[in-house]
Amino acid sequence: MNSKPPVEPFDLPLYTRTKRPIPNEMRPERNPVSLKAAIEEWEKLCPEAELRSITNVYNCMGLLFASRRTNIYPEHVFDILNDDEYRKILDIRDISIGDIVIYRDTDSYDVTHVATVISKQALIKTATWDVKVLSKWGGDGEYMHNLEYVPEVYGKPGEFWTDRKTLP
Amino acid sequence: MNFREAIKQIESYEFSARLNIASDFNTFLKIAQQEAVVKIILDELNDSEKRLFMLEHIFELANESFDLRYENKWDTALAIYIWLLNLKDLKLSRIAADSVIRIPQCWWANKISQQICFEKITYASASKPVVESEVISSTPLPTTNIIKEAEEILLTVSLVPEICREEGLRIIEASTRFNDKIKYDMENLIMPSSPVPEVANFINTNCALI
Repeated sequence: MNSKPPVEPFDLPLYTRTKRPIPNEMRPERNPVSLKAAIEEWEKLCPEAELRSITNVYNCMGLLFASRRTNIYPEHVFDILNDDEYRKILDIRDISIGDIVIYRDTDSYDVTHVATVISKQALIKTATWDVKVLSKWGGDGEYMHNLEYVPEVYGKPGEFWTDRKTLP
Repeated sequence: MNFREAIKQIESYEFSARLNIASDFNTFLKIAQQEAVVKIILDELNDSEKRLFMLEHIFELANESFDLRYENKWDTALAIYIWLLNLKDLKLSRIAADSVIRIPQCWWANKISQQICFEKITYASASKPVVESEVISSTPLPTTNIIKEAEEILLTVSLVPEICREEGLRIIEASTRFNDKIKYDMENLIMPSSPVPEVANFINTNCALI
C-alpha cells in the first residue's frame, strides 16, 4: 500500500486578488465518442438547454474563475468571491449580465454549481424575470439555459454575487 | 435487470455522461446513489462471491488498454465499483484502490482511490465520509527534496537549484502565509527572523513528505 498522502492540487498557478492560492486540477479530455454520448444524453434529459461547447477539461468553477483552463472545486467559491471583492445581491431585480449565480443542494445546502448571467428580461405578464445563464455542467457540456433549468442534482439557484463597481 | 446487465450499464457512455455533470466528488456520489443500476450492484455485493468477482473485474479494467490521449474510458465505472466495494468490504476496496491509483488518466477513480488509500475513509453515504485518520491539510505540501532545499534557502537563496527555487519558494510562502511566527515572502525574498532549525522543524511538522 502506498504510504504517500494526497495533496491538494495546484496544477496552474492561480491566485485570488489577495494572493491566496486557488487549488485547481487539470483534467484530461474525454474521447470524442464519450463526449458525443454526453451531448446526446443531455439533449434527451434537458432539451431546452442550448449547447455552447463540449469538453472535459474544465468545470463550472473553472469556466468562471480560470477562463476555461482547469477545474476548481465549488468549496472554494466563497474564498474567491470574498477575496476578489464580490458582493452579494439580495434581490433578483438587481442582478445584471456577468453576475454570478450559486446553486445549492436542496438537502445539504452545499454549493453544487455556479453560473454567470447572460441575459435578463422582465416578464410583464407574470411580474417575474426571465434570466438566462451560461454554465459548464461538470465534465460535460457548456450550456446556455434558464436560471432554474438545471439537472436536478444541482438543486436551486441560492444566491447572486456581483463584482460590479460604481464611481465612489 | 441482473448483475451482468447492471455492470454493462455502469460501463456505458450514457451512465458516464450522467455522472460527469458533477463538479466535485460528493455530487458525483449523490448522482450515483440515485441510479437504479448502482442499487442493483450494491445489493448483489452482499454476496461474498460477487465481491470477489467485482475485485477481479476491477483488476481486469485496470489492465485494459485505452487511448492515453484521453481520460481512461473506465474511469467512472472504476470509481463506482471501488465505492460500492468500500461500502461492503473495506479490505477488498483497499486492494482495489491500491491498484487503480496507479492507472494514468483517471479522475473520479483516482480521487476515491486516494481517499481510501491515504485517509482510510469509509463511505457511509455520498456526503458523509467517515474518516479513520486525520484529514490531510489543504495547504500545498512540498516534496522531500524541496523541504531539504527549503532549509538551505533560509541560509542563502543561491544554494537552491534554479529549477526548484521558484516552486519551493511558492510552496514555502503558501505554507507560512497565515503563520504569525514564521513568514516567508516570495516576492521580496525576506528571510524569516526565526532561526533555521525552528523553521525547518515547522516545515517538517506541518508538511507531510511526498
